[in-house]
Amino acid sequence: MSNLLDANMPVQNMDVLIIGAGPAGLACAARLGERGIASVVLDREPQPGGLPAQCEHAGFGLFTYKRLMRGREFAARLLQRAERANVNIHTNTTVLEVTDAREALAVSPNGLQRYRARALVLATGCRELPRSTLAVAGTRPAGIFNTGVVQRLHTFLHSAPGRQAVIVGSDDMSLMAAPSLIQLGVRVRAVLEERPYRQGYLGLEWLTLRPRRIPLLLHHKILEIRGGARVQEILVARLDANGAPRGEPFVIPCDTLIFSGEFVPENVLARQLNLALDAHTRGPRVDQNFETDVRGIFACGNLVHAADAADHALADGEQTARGVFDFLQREHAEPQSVQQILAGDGVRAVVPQCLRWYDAQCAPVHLAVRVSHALWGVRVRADTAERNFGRAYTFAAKPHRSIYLKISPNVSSDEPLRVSAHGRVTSD
Amino acid sequence: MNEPFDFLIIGAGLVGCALARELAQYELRVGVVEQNEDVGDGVSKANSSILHTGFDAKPGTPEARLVAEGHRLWNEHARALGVPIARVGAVMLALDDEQLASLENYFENAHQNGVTDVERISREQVLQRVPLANSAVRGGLWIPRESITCTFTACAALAEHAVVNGAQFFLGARVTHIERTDALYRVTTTRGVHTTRWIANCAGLWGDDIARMMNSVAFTITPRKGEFLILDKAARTRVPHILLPVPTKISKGILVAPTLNGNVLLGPTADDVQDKSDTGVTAPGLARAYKGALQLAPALEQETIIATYAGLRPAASTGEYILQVDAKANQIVTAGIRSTGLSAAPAIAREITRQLENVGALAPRKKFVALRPPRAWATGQTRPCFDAARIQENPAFGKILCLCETVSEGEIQQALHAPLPATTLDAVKRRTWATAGRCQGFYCTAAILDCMSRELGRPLHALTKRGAGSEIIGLNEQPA
Ligand SMILES: Cc1cc2nc3c(=O)[nH]c(=O)nc-3n(C[C@H](O)[C@H](O)[C@H](O)COP(=O)(O)OP(=O)(O)OC[C@H]3O[C@@H](n4cnc5c(N)ncnc54)[C@H](O)[C@@H]3O)c2cc1C
Ligand SMILES: Cc1cc2nc3c(=O)[nH]c(=O)nc-3n(C[C@H](O)[C@H](O)[C@H](O)COP(=O)(O)OP(=O)(O)OC[C@H]3O[C@@H](n4cnc5c(N)ncnc54)[C@H](O)[C@@H]3O)c2cc1C
Repeated sequence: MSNLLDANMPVQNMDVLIIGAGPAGLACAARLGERGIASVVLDREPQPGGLPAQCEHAGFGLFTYKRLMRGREFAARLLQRAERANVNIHTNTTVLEVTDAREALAVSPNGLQRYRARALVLATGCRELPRSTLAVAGTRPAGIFNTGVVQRLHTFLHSAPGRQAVIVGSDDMSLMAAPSLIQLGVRVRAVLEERPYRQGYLGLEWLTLRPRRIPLLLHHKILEIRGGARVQEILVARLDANGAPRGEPFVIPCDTLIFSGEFVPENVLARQLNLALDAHTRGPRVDQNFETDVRGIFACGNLVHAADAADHALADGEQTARGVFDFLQREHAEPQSVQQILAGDGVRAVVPQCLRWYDAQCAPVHLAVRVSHALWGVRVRADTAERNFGRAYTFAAKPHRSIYLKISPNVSSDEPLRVSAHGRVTSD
Repeated sequence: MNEPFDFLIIGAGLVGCALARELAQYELRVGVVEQNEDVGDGVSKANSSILHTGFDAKPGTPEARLVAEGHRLWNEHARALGVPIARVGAVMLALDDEQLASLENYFENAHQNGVTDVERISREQVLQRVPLANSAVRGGLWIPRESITCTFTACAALAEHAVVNGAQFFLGARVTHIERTDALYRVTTTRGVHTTRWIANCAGLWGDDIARMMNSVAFTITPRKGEFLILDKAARTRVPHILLPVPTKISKGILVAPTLNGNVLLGPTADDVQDKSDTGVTAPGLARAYKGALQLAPALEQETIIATYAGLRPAASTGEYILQVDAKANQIVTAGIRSTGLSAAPAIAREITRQLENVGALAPRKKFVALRPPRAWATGQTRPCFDAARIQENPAFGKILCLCETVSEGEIQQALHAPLPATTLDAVKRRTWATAGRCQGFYCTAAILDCMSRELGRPLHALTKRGAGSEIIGLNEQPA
């Protein structure tokens, strides 16, 4: 069905095309603009800013702007910067197809557009897994949402999803949904987590759940959703060490269920391009400049590590801009060395997955590391067989959130770099 | 009270809608009452969407005859109705010696049912047709005309074609009482009373209750649950045909079927249940459906599950289709149309009409509209957003609301204003496929509700998933 193969369709040529106007895409565009390189950013939403632009809650910007701000404010700040850099943003524009010739077919109410760029950046973000993928038993009544929908209902339609909610999942985003719901007049009855430990941070639990006495039920699972037209109640069981129900299941009455905290990259376009994907992140594999295995195609933000904080997506975007800039200077260069980065002991995934060096300079690289288990007192390190390239200590690490390790790589090496994490396995 | 109907049909499932469409071809006043807010929201919304040839039906039964005729009728009318059909063919896989032996019986059976194009194929041929089939396969049967369609489109198409030919649909109207006065029936529903000369029981799972109200033949309907899983689109190219197991005595068994929307279905199970409204999925049921499907094609384990659902087959105590035209009592009964009703529906309607014509001639409708009005999009077609000319005509076709299925605002608007308007979120989903993709509404639910509210002129909090009680948001705005 490819319109891209239709040679008659006029094509707009450009240096850089960025898909997704979230923190990653906008930061990339702004940075490029600041260095004098024009780019076009496409986003299917009516407003630019990605997920933060759809969030009312104040959980953004601590690293970038040194204070917590509302998502909308975070997005507005970034947008201002992009506008100052003369970035060209087209909203209401959905990219339908991309090809490895770096062409994109996009549609908007103005019609179909075909773009061809020297460098293509995918910054399409991530989404939450729906309830059915998680295969929860029971009926399929109204009243089942995820946090993304709840944020949009709140921000755009000023509507509450229901009266009595249970949040399923204990990720930071799950915990953050609680105050949003309460603000809308919803009573949050409980937060459930199937794993024996909280996914999000203790501090956030203290901020969001404790003051309101919302119970966080760890190692609990929904056995069944009940209700005909609308959710009426859920049947919940506590789990034993093997993850099997333990003791009598009990009922929590509620009319709203919010599934949260299980993210997958929005990788449709990446899959169209047949980019090499990481088996664990399910996003494209990238190097330190967020370039994929196809030269001139970049991927960054939540698309490559779902779902980290918006600050990190923003930082990715800036780094991607550097990569794009270099690429445009030396489009046909071959890397001098390629060094693979592997997940070692205690580590599930590392982004970037490799380092590619084109010249003798080597800037430090920030690795986003996902641990295999929740750990306390974590020592992370990156080593080749011969030597260490960086180490860091962090108080706590969770499998669903990256911890960052700065390394100073060695340009001449093509020996794999192994990242490992050690610490005390914890239930908190 | 309104003028009496000639025929009032109870139930707007596939069978009721097919009957309405058939009768609307004549000079008759046809009404349909349905308890749900949309047509096809009962048994007819949760099946495998397979257009059977009837190769495996019990020879000599009405079911065998009607499935075969239905298959032919669907193919004949698909174009006029805008119902997509893909003749993908089915492979029945024998996984051991015993099954290999019973393939022979199915081959014979198919011939007895007039399905003479079935072929026995070798293990190599099976693997050639379906490289991902279980490598333990011993041999197979190739049934070239087994086809797939879309049950939602099929039901809506029948209903809409009836509507443009004058049939009146009363949705959200549950029949609570039926009485006969003189030559007329008086049918009380939760939304008004109707009178009619004839009454037709097409009430699916509740056919036995309606039969009692009508004082017609007595039977009971037992729901038999079938659970399914849906795989994401990546799986579709690996499943070129329908994969069938060798059936057991109880059911056709768990199959793997491609869908016209580009997904793959795994299921259904077959479990008798008590409650006719129990369409929930269960952990053991899903596990069995998954395991059964993986037995046919183990490699599907790598694919992503995006949704699950369950349907209830309305099995009659007689074990067979019940079809009756009672010219004394002016009653029609269709019941026990349990696992082949999608295929057979047009033939069931035709059969009823034939029997009615035996009673008295029916006059063809003078202003018969042969074609269902065109729609913005039909299942299996290219979406309007890929067509520059259509976007120029209507910019709403360029505004994508549901990314996973590339559904534009234009298609949703059209569904909301169709001859039989979609008025619930589920109905919008069934007409346009919006929210049915891999994200299951993560991105688009809010935008679609916003569009529905504007187009239907209803406040957000009045919008429902599938009728009163299933309000989607804003419960706070209404007093408890
Ligand atoms: C409910 C929720 C709450 C969160 N709360 C916080 C928080 O409090 N603090 C925090 O730091 N982080 C939070 N996050 C995470 C934060 O939103 C992300 O880290 C950040 O948005 C990622 O930026 P991104 O640019 O990679 O992707 P996104 O912000 O998701 O942007 C991707 C953009 O790509 C567009 N797009 C995708 N596909 C296409 C296509 N085919 N065509 C055109 N456009 C397309 C999308 O419309 C979207 O605008 C939250 C996330 C969620 C889901
Ligand atoms: C798991 C499964 C898989 C299947 N697979 C296939 C397949 O692949 N191919 C195939 O051909 N067939 C298949 N079928 C069979 C097919 O789906 C059914 O035969 C068909 O849907 C039956 O249609 P119906 O109109 O009789 O019932 P329904 O669709 O249930 O219609 C009856 C309607 O009557 C309404 N009603 C009931 N009581 C009242 C009342 N008191 N007042 C008002 N309205 C009332 C109900 O709400 C309902 O909408 C399958 C069925 C199941 C369950």
